[in-house]
Amino acid sequence: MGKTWRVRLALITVLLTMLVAVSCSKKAVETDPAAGITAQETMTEETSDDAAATDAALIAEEELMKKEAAAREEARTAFQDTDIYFNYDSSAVQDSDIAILEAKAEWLKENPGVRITVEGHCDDRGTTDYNLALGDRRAARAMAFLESLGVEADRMVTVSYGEERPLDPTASEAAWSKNRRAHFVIR
Amino acid sequence: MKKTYRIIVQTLLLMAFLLSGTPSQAEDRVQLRVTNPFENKTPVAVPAFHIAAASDHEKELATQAVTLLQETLAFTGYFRMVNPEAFLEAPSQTGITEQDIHFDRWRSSGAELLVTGSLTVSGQAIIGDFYLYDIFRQKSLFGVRLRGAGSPDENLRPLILKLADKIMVTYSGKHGFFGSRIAFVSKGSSTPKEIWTCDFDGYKPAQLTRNKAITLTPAWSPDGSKIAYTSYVNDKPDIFVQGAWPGARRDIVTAKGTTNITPAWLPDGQMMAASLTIEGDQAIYLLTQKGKIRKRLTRKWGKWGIDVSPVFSPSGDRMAFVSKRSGSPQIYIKNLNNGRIERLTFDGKYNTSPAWSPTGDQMAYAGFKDGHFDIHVMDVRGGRPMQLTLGTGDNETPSWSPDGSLIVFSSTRKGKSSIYVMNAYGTDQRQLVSLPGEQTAPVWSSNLNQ
Amino acid sequence: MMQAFTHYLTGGDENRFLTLAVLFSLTGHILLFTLSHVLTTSGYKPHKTPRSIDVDLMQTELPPPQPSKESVQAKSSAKPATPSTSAPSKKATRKKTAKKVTPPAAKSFTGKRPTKRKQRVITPDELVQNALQKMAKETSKKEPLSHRLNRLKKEVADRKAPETVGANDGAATGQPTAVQMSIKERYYRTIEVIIRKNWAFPTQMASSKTQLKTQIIFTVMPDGSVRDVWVSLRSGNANFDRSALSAVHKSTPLPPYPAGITDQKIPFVIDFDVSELL
Repeated sequence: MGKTWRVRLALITVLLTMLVAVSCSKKAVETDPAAGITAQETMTEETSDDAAATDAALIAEEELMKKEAAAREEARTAFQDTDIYFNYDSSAVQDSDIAILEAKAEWLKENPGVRITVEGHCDDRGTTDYNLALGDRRAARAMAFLESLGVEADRMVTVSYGEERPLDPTASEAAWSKNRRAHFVIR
Repeated sequence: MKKTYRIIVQTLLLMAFLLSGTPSQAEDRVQLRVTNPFENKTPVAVPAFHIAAASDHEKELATQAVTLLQETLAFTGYFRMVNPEAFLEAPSQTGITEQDIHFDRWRSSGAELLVTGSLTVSGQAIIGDFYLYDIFRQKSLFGVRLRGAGSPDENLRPLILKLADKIMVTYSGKHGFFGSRIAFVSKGSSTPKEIWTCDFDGYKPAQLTRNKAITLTPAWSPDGSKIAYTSYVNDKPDIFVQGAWPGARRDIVTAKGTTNITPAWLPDGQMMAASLTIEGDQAIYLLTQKGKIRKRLTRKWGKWGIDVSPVFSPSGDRMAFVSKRSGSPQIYIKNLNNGRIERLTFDGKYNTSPAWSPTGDQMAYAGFKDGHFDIHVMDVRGGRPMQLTLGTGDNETPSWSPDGSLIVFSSTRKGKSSIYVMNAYGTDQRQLVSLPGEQTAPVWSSNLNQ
Repeated sequence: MMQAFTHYLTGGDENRFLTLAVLFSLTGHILLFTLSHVLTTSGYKPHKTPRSIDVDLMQTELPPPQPSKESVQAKSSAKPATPSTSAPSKKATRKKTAKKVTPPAAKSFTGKRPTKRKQRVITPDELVQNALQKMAKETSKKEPLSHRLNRLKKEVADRKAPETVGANDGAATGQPTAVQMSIKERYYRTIEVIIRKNWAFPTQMASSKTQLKTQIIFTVMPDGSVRDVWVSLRSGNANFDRSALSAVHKSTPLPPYPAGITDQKIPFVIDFDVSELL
C-alpha cells in the first residue's frame, strides 16, 4: 500500500515539474518564433514539444485508466454484490437469475485471472444438517451453470454455509427468501 | 431329620389344600379390572439425612445431598417427591434402619417408597449409609454403604448419583442414566457456534471445542470418550474427532469434498459414517476415524441428490438417514445386511434428524407441520407417528437418554433456542440449561462410568 | 436384584417353614393360574351377566381421593347420605390396628390418612356416578396419549389443591343415571374406582412390546377391612406388581358394605393392566 502511494507521489511530482517546464519553453518559443535557433535549442524545443504531447497523452491515459479502474471496480463490486435466489427446499437455478449468471460468466471471461468462491445459503426453516447439504447443492448448481457458460471449473470452488449465515435473521417470508441464496466472492 | 420330614409333609398338605381350594375360590370372586394407573409416577418420601458430627458446613452437605437425590429421582420422570410436610417421622433423629421405621406412620404420607440416609464426613472422605423401603410391604429393599474418597464437596454428587442408580436398579431392574452427559452446540453473541457439554441434568455446562470457527453436529462415540463433529476450521465444513474433555486434541477425519458433514458412529466405536460430496452428490459413506473411505452406503440417485444425517440401530444392522430422493427430505432405513432401503416417514413434507431409541424399536425425529418443527416418535417398522411437542416454537434434534426413558431436544418456545428434556412419551417438558446465547443440537451420551 | 425381590415378595425369613410354604404355594398358584389361563384362554369368566365394567378414569374427572377417604369415614359413622364438611378427629387418625402379619399376606390395614384441611365429603356413590357420566360423555372422544398424559398430570396436580365446596354438585346430582346398577354392583364399582385412584405407576416404564398385567386377590369384610391380599398373577415386571399391590393396600380400609349386602365376606380378584401405549 505504502509503496503504491510513494510511486504515485513520485509520478505526480514528475508530471508537475514537466508541466512547469512546458509552459516556460512555450513562452520562449513565442517570444522568438523565427529561425536562428540553435540546434541545441531546437533539440530542446523538439524535446519540449515531444514531452508536452507525451504528457497530454499520459494525462488522458491516466484519466482513462481511472475511469476504467472505476468501471472495473464497479463490475467487480456488482459481481460480488449480486446474489441469485432459490425457492424453498430447492437448488434449481431460477429463470429470472439466468441473466445475472450470464453477466457473471462474461465478467469472469474478461477477467481470466480471477478466481471465485460460490457460497450456498439457506433460510433457517429447516434442519441444520439438511441445510448444509442443501447449501452445497445450491452452490454446486450455480457453479455448474457458470461452467456451462464457459468459465473454467478450476477457477471456482464452492462452500456451503447452510443456515449459519443469514443476511436477515428475522422470521418473515421476505427475510427467508433473501437468505436462500448463492453468493459469489472473489478470492 | 424328623423335623424336615414333617415340614415337607405339611407343605405338601398345604399345597394340596391350595390346589383344591383355589379354583372354586377364584370362581366365586368378584372380578374387577383397572386399566391404566391414575397417577403416572411413584410417590417417594426422601426425608432429611442424618449427619453424625455436624459442623454447619457438614449440615449444609447433608441438605445438599437430600436436595440432589430428590431432584435426581424426580428428573427420571418415574418418581414424585412427596411433600415433607406430610412426614410424621424424622429418621434423621429417630433412626434410619428397619427397626427404627414406623411404616404405619409413613403410609399416611401417601408415599410408596421411603429413602433414609446417614452421612459421615471424616477429613477427606464421605461415607453414606442408605436404605430403600417399601412402605406398604413394610420391607427394606436394600441397605447400602457408599464411600467417596477425597474432598466431601466434590464427592457428594458422585455419591448421591451412585445411590440414585442403586435405587433405579432396584426399582426398575435397569440402570439409570446418571453417568451420562449431553453435548450441544452453543453460540455466543459475538463468538461462533462451538460444542459444549454438561451432565445429564444440565449440571456444569462447559465449552469443549475452541475452534473459533462454526462447529456443528456433535456425535458421541459409543463409549462416550470422543465426540465427532462438523467444523469450518479450514473454511469449509469438514469432520473432526476430539476427545470429550476440554483441551483434547482435534483430529481431522475428512478433507476431500466440499461439504463433509453429519458424522455418526457405528456401535462398535471404530467405524464412522458421514455425508460427503467426494463424488459430486451428497451421499453417505462408511469411513475410518482417519478418513479412509471403506464403502459408499447410499447409491447415487441424481446429480443433485442429498443423503445426510446417518444414525445406526443399537445392534448396528440398520442405518436411518435423511434423503431428498422423493423430492422432500424424509427418513429412510437401510438394512445393512441385504442392502434394502425403505422409507419410514410419509407424514408431512419435511422429516429430519432421526434418532434411534436405545431399545431399538422407536425412531424420534423432527417433522415440519403447520409452520413449526415438532418432535415425533414412531415405530421403526412404520405406522402412525406420535407427536410429542405441540406447536410451541420449533422443536428439533431429538436424542434419547441411554435407558430410552427421556428425550433431549432443542426448542425456540421461549424465543431464543435452548435445550429441553421430556419423558419419552412427551410429558414433563422442561428446560435443561440456562446459558447466554443460543443452544441447539443436543446429543445424549451413554453412561460413562459404569 | 431378583434375589432381593424374591426375598421381599416371599415375606422374609421369620420362619423356615413359612418361607418354604409360601414358596411352594406361590409356585403352585402360578402354575395353577397359568394352567387355568391356558385352559380357559381368558382367565376367570363371570358366570351370568358381565360383572366387570372397564372404567377408564384417565378420561374422567374425579373428585380428589382425600374426600373419598373422608367419605369412607363418614359412611362408617353411619351417615351415608348427608354430605357434611368434617375434619377427622385426632383419635380416628391415630387409630391403627396393624395386626402382626400372618403370612402369606393376611394383612389387615385400617390406617387412615390424616387430613388437615376441611374438605367436602363425597360419597362413593357420587364418585361412581361422576365417573360413569363422564365416561358416557367421553367414550366417543379419542385423544392422543400425550394429551391424556398431560391432562393426567394436571389432574394429579389439581388433586393436591384443596377442593372448592360444591364444585361437583352439578355433575353429581340431577342428571339421570345412564347405567342402572344393583347395590352390589355399585359397591364393586366404588371399590374399583378407589383402587384405581390409589394406583401409581409410570406408564413409560411399560415396554411397548410386552402387555403388562397383574392380578391381585383380596377379601373385603363387612366393615370394609381387607384381608388376604396377594398377587395371584405376576406381570413379569416386579415394579408393576408392587405398584398394584400398593394400590390395594393404600385403598384400605374400603367403605363398609352398604345396607342391602348381607354377605359375610366378599372375595375379589382384580386385574391391573396398561393399555394404549405406543
